[in-house]
Parts: sequence; structure tokens; C-alpha cells
Amino acid sequence: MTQLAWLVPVLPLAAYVLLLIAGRRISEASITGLSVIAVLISFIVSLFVMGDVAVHGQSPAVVYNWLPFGLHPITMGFQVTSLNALMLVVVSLVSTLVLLFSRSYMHGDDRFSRFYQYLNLFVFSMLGLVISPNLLQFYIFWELVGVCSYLLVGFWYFKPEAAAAAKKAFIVTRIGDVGLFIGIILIYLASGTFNFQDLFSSSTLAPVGSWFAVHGLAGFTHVPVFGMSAPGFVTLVALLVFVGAVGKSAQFPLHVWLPDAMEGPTPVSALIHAATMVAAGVYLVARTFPLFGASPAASETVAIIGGITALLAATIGLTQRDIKRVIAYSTISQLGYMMIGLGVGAYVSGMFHLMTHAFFKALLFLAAGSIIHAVDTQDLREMGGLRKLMPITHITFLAGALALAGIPPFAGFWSKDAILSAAFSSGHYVLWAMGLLAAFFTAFYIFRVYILAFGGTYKGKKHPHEGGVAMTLPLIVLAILATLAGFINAPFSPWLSRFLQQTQTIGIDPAANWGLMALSAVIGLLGIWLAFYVYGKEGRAQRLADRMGFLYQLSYHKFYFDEIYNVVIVLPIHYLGELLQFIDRWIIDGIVRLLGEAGYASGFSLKYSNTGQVQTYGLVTLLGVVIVAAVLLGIGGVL
Amino acid sequence: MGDVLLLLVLIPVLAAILTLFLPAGSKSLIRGVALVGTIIPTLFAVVAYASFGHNTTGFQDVFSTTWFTINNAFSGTPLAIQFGFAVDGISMPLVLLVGVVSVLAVIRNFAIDTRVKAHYFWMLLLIAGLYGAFAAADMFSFFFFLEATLVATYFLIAIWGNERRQYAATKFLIYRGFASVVMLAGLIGLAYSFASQLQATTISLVVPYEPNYLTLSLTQMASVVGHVNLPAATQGGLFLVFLLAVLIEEAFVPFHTWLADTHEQSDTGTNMLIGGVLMKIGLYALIRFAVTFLPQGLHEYGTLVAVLGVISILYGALVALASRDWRRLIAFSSISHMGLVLLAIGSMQAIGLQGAVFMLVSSGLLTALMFFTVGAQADRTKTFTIGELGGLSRPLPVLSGVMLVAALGLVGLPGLSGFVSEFTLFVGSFARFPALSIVATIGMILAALYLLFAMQRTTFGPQKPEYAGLKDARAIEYIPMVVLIALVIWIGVFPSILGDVVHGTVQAIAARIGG
Repeated sequence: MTQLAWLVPVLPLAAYVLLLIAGRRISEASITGLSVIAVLISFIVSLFVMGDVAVHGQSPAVVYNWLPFGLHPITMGFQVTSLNALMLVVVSLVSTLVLLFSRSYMHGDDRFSRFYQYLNLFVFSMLGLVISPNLLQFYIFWELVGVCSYLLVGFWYFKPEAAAAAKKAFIVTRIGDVGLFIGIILIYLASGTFNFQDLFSSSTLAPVGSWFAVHGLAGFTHVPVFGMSAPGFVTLVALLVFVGAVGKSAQFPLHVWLPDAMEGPTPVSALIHAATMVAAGVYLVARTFPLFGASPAASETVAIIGGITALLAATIGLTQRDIKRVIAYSTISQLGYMMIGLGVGAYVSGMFHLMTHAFFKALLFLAAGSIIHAVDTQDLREMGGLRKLMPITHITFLAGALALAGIPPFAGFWSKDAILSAAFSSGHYVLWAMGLLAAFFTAFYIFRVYILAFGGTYKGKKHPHEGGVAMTLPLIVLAILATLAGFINAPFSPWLSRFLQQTQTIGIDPAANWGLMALSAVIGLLGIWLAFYVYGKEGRAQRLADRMGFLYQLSYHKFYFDEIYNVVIVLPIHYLGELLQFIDRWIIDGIVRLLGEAGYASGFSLKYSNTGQVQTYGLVTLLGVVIVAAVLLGIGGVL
Repeated sequence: MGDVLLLLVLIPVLAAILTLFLPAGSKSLIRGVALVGTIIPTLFAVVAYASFGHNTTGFQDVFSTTWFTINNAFSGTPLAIQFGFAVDGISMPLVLLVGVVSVLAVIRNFAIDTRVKAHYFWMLLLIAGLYGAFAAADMFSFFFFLEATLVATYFLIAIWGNERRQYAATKFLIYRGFASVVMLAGLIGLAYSFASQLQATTISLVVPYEPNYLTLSLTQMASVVGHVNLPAATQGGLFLVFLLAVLIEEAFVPFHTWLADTHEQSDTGTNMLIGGVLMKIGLYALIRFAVTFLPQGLHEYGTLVAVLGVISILYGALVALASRDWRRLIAFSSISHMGLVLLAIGSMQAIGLQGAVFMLVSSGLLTALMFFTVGAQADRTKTFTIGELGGLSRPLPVLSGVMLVAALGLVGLPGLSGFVSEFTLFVGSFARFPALSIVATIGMILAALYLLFAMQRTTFGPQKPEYAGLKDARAIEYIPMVVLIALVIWIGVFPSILGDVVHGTVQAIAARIGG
């Protein structure tokens, strides 16, 4: 079955092409049906592939020549490993549900078909990224998901905010991408290959030496490592790869694009900016895990950046008034947790959290989408009372919120605690404490949203009601997953751990620490309690905000990152451009024009184009040039 | 097959002459002649490309005939001036690029209604010159066709350009004319020093060679280049001469100010030919003459070449960011992208050279596409000023979409030709200049910045009332867009279509120059 894994990305691609050709002529129902069925089949194939891997183990890469390149051609193809298989299942499953959900959400949009085209293109790119057998192909799809994100964030192109957000998302992630780009090139120059299989073959977590075991394949006579030691070079390369992950997974300090990306349609936020694409950065770190394993400094950096991001974003999430922005900051924060996990070496826990997060965060976004669809606003202060009006959305959102808050037995509890336990047991106490504090904030902000949206009475003017079955069915499926998916790797049944490590142990996978787990469950409950306390009575929230004063402002204004970047980076670049433009116009070209004027004044000019007989002039000029050339050649001895 | 290359040049010239005998009023007939006169060579170019031998590294499809002979100061025997044509893995893709862009430019300029006869006369001569410059296997032929492009382009700008066309055309002529003189000095110097060194070597040549040793034929020079070792000082000096010529010809900083004026003042079809093809000749000449025959010069000045490249990359990108006119933006973007080629050439790596050729082709296609779409939108909105546009996605969805594809191609999006070019040339440049290359990658971020910023202000945003009734792409406008996008995607997804042709030649060059 793994031999058929190529079908998984190709089916959505086929759907994209079909819609590109026929999209305008077929009904919304057919467009949705075509897309959902294509991706559903992808999901089923993925399940079989995963089963095959579980039973028969991983399979080698299947590759074809792509481009002659020095001594060894570049190849492209696909490869199924345990990690890939897991990602295939998660991505195709969430994609199917989001495609279904969009049926109602985008109903009536005059570019309905275009929306589905982009989504299918995205699903293709994301799945192609997942099964890439080499870094270059990975990067190609990595950029393609980025451009799909650009197109979808800016889908409502006539909204200036959407246009600005799309551009910002692309450019900020591009900064990270360039880091990855450089990293890939350096890896190639040092090792002569892009293939994961060749890069990490000898032994997955072997010391640095194995990195250079493959050196020499390319026939380069020198190793361009800036005169660095091998360990230093590995650290540099690992950090460059991580820069890519920081951009894509919206980690501090490149996190600023993700909240703005919420200008896109909500299904896009659910699929791309929560469940799949933003997790690609985490997946990248996991895919190149041996590289980080070989560099303690790089791993520590991953963990620390993850920790900062987790806490920072959770802090900002406390005060935002836009329901989607709260969940967006929550996504950034949760991605930070995954980075902590991978950074401290807990490979399985990081991927486990990626999976559970994909489910419960897609759920929260889709539920938010369901609300927005019903009340036509994203402002939490204009909601309220939806518990009775939208019972299915309410109960499913609650499941997602509990999973996010880390309350047992919901999925997020198991995966988040696996990460925190790993941080603790590997001696990263500060990171552990930061994670715990972030968990407290998390529980608070998500139940703040829950209370503001579902509690009290409805404050808007519309008549909210549930969307159709296309909306509620994905919610229900995701709610079930958000509730139960944790048991796939609960301490008493670590199936996922065995699956991901069937050939060898990767990183650390510490035994469950029941004490820590109980503690973080209590922290989560405390956060929820606080939310109910603060928002249970009119006016308390305002008083709390006032008392916090500066801290509240800091959180509400997102620590002023956008403003600082604007002053420190964006404006200087634009001013530099303007300055150079000025110099170009008035100094460089000014000198040229001055010389030209001088030329005219002395009568030495070439202005003979004002007559009508242009052809004649042309022939004469041509002839003249030829004669000059011939004569020069004839007397060439002068040189 | 050698005659094919001759036909590439001959047919447009014959078509140009034919237009002279047509009545000026029969515009459709003239347009038809021009179209046929460019489509047939394009088909020949496609045939030549398809039948190009991937396993030989030298020149193919050689054609040469003596045109006239002159006395020379070097030896008593007269020097035969030839029309010589041949292609190798570097020139073949560029010849085909001429074929593709020329037809599309001719189609695009069906829109031109004033002095149609003269317009196509000059355009056909320009196209013949472009074919000739890339297909030339003889220094004289190369220079002859280079001059032909200079003259033809001058008149295209001076007659059919915008308000400041006289100024721009004169500037174009002065800059490129000067570049030509410098180039000529380089070519003559190369021919003579090559010949004297060859005379000095006592080896028995395994290939037949002109008795007087002085030749302008690149095929002949290539056949003995392994035996000729020019003194390092000569190589260095000549290299600098070629470099100066190319810096002016390719509008590298600080010799660049003419290009933005040229593009701003030229009509769209001419811009497609200038930006798409003409602006690739200089770098092609650098590879063809300087890199091939003066490897030690490249060794010595490789760093200089790379630094100049990086300066143009960053300078071009930053000024593009501040450009208010789409045509100027594309001009500076083009300068920035050509800087990448310079950086790659400086690297002296086979992969770098491969990336350089890829970039020349890719930039040619994308620049032509960009000029086409920008021109098409300006036909409707009557403006190229970025600040006056906005919200065009609604009235012009197809044109806006194509413009976005072109912009993303220039940004270097994988799946389009720009990425594989950038990636390949950076692998080469990082091998020799890691630190400099890191600086150059800032250009990748800036490219996204200026192109997406301009796109945001052009196609995104609320629809402006004055643009509400605009009509989207007409049937004839689909031809250039579909052809160019198809090629850009084809190269992006299956780069071996280009790589198989380029690979052998660049490997051979790199092996000889020791990269």
C-alpha cells in the first residue's frame, strides 16, 4: 500500500485541475462533492498506508531523476515513514472535514469555485510536503503551501486588511524561508545530497561524524563551512533550518503574521493556520530531527524559542476581543509547546501534540466559524447566549476548549503533559514552569471566550442558529477526536510511541509522571475557575483590567511587536529605498544628464532621429557601424 | 542542421525587406507578414532545440561561409570574415527564448496602429539581430548582429515610445553604443592575443586550423582552446574590458540609469523584446567570451564580479521598492535578477553557470510576461502609475491572475521557472562565496517585498469606480499569457527540459576553467 502513497497528494491535485477547467460551470454542491470525495479517498488511502507501515514497517523512497545537477542528478519522488504516514492521516482527515464545512460557510460567494480550487491546491501541496523524500522537494512544497496561504488569506482581496495581511504573511514567512533555503544549500554543499535517507542513514542519532560520512558524494574538493568545526557547522545548519520553522510555525520573533492572517475565511484559518501548514515548521524539525540531535545548542534554542513563544502568545491571548485572534494566539502558543517538546528531545510527545492540536484547534476554529456565520461578527462583546441558540456548536466548542485547557481525559491533556513531563525530566525546569504558567493562561483565555460567546444573553441583533449538516458534522467528528484522540498515546497505551519508534528509539520518551500530570490538571482547572470568577459577574473583568493597567495594555497591544517592527525594520527599508531612488534620479542619473547637456552644448550629439526617413537612417547607421568594425579589425594591430 | 541557424536570421530579414514593398496602408497584410516571418524561425528554433544532442559538449549545427576577406596587420594572409553560426548548451536555450518572445511581441504589437510598416520593419530587424547574436559562432557575426539590435531598438524607442522617447532613445543609443565599442575592443584583443599565443605554441594541432592562425571563428577557437594558455596579465586585462562592456550593456549599477528610462518610454512589445531577450545578450557574451577564453581573468576578478552582482541585486531591489511606475519597477527588478547571474558567473562553478543560464531564460520569460500584463492593464486603465491603480482583480480577474503568476515567478516561487534558477545558481555561489551569497539572499526577501507590495496596490483592494467597466483579456491576449505561463510552469516543474541541454556544456566549461 505504501507504493500507492503518491495517490494521496495527487487526488486533491486532480480535483484542483478539474475545478480549474470546469469550476465555473458546475454547482456548489458538485464542487464540494468532488473535492470532499477526492480528499476523503486520500484519507482512506492514508489510513491504509499507515496500517501498512504499522504492520510491515517503513519503505524506501521511490524517486525519479528531476534535473541534471553537477555529478549527481536531483531526484524527486515520495517516501513513507512512520512520521509521514501519521501526518498523511492527520492532514487528509482535517482537510476532508474543512472542505465539507466550507460548503455552508462559503455558500453564495461569487468565487466559491475558486475557493475550492485554492483549498485543493493547498491540500495537494501540504500532502506533497509530507511525503517528500528530500529537502529540496520539501522546500518546494513548503513554498507552495505558503503561496496557497497567501492566496487564501487574501481571498477577499477587496478588503484592504485582507490584502495587507496576505502580503505580510508571505513576506514574514519568506524571511524564515530564506534561512531554510541557505540551510538546505549548505547541507547540500557539505554532504552532496538532499535526500533524508542518505543524510540520516548510518544511524539516526549518531554523533556529528555521520554527517560527514556522506561528504564527498558531490565531488566538491573543499567543504565550505566558513572554516568552522564540524559541530559548529552542524549547529549553524540546524539553526538555519529552524529559522524556516520559526517563520512557518509563527514562533517568536516571526509570529506577527499569524494573527493578521485571520483576515482569511475561517475554514482557511482552521485548516492552514491551525491544523496543518503552521504545523509544518514543527514537522520540519521532526523530519530533520537527527540534525538537531547532533547539536545540543540548536536543540536548546528550539526549546527556548518554543518556551518564549508559548508563554508570550498565551499572554496576548488573554485580552484580545476578536474571537479568531484569541484562537490564533492560542495556536502560536500551542506550536510553542510542540517546539519545547522537540527541543528537549521529546520527539514523540511533540508529534503527539501536533496531532491532538490539529484536531482540537481545527474544531475550535470551525466552531468559531459556525458562530461567525451565525452572528456575523468576530467581536466577542457582541456575542453571548449562544449556548441555547447553537447547542451543537456549544457542546463541540466546549470539548475543544477542555482539550486545549488540558483537562483530562480530553486529548490535549495527554499530549501537553507529555511535553511538560519531558521538559521537567530532562532538567528544563524554567521551561517547564513557563509551560505551566502558559497552561494556566490558556485555560483562562479559552474559557473567557467560552463564557463571552455562549454564556449570558445574546447581545447582537441577528437571529443565530446552527448551520446545516455540512457545518455540524465536521464539528461533531472533530469533537469526538478532540475528546478521545489522546488515548492513542496515553501513558497506559503508548501506541503512537511504538508506531513512531518502530525501527529505533528517537529522542527521549520519559515515563509518565502522575504527580506532574495531576498538577497541570489542577492548574488548568484553576484557570477555568478564574475565568468563571472574573466573567461570572458584570464589571469584574473591567476592574481587573484597570487594576492590571500597564500589563493589560501590553497584552492588549500584543507587546507592540507590530509597532516596533514597523519602526525598526519596515520603515527604514522603505526610507532606504526612497533615498536610493532619490540618489538614482538626481545624483547618478543627474551626472549622466549633466554630461549629456555638456555634449549638446559642444555640438557633439546624436540627435538625428527627428526626420521622417527613419529607415534610411537606420541602414546608413548599420552600414557605418559595419565599416567601422571592419576597418578596426583591419588595423587591429594597434591593439 | 546547420542551415537552420542561418534561416533563423535570414527569414526575419527577408520578411523585413518584404514589408518595405508592401503599401503602408495594408496594415493587416504587414502584420501577417511579420507574424509569418517570426513564426517560421520559431518553429525552426523549436526543431533545433528538440534535436539538440545532449551528449556532446561543444558547438552543434555549425554553419559558416566566408563573407569577405580583409588584410590584417597580424600576418600576410588575408583574414576571412565569416558568417558563422552554431549553438551549444548555453546559446541553444537563448535562441529558443528569442523565438518564443519574438512571436509574442509581434502579436502584442498588432495593437500598434501608427506607421505599422516601419514598426514591423524595425522589429523584424531587431529579431534577426537577436537570433544572430545568440546563434553567432564568429566574433564578427556576433558583433554585427549586436549592432543590428542597437540600431533597430533605437528606432523602435524613438518613434513608437512615449512622451520622452527622444531622450530615452538617445540615452539608450549612447550607453549601448559605448558598450559596443568596449566590447569590440575586447573581441579584437581576444582574437589577436589568442592568435599570437597559438602561433607561439609548438604543439602539432590535431585539428585543421587557418594557416595564418588569426581567426574570429568561435568554433575554431573552441577546438584548440585546450592548447592555448594566454598569459595571466592578458587574460586579466581582457577580462576587465569585457566586464566593463557587459556592465554597461546589462545596465548594472552604476551604469544602469538608461534602462529604467528605456523601459518607461518604450511600447509594450518592444519592452518584451528588450527586457525579455535583448537584456540577456551582455551576460551571454560574458560567458561566451570572457568565461570561456579567459578563465584566469575570471579567477582573478571573480570576487569583483560577484561583488558587483550583489550590489546590483540589492540596489535594484531597493529602488524597485520605491518605484512608482510599473515599468521602472520591472526594470529595476530585472537589474536585480541579472545581478544574481553575475554572482553565479563569479562563482566559477558548473552549477553556478547552469543556474546563470536558467536565470537568463527564466527572467526572459517572466519579464516578457510581466511587461505584457502590465501593458495590457495600462491599455485599459491608461496608467502605469502604481499609486493610481487598485482593485483590478474585480474588473480584470484574468489579467490580474496572470500578473500575480508573473510576480510570483519573479519572487522565485517553486513550481515556476524562477525558483529552480535561483536555487541552482545559489548552490554555485555558496560554494565559492558563502558570506557574499548570504547577503545576496536578502534580495529574495526584498523581491517579495516590492512585488507583493505593488501587487497589493494594483490588483487588491476595493474596486475604483473609474475602473469598473473595464473589459478583461481578449482572445488574442490569451496567446502570450498562455504560452509564457506554460513555459514558466514547464521549466519549473520539469526543469530537465532545460537542464539536459545546458548541463553538458557548463560541465565542460567548468572542467576547463577549473571551477
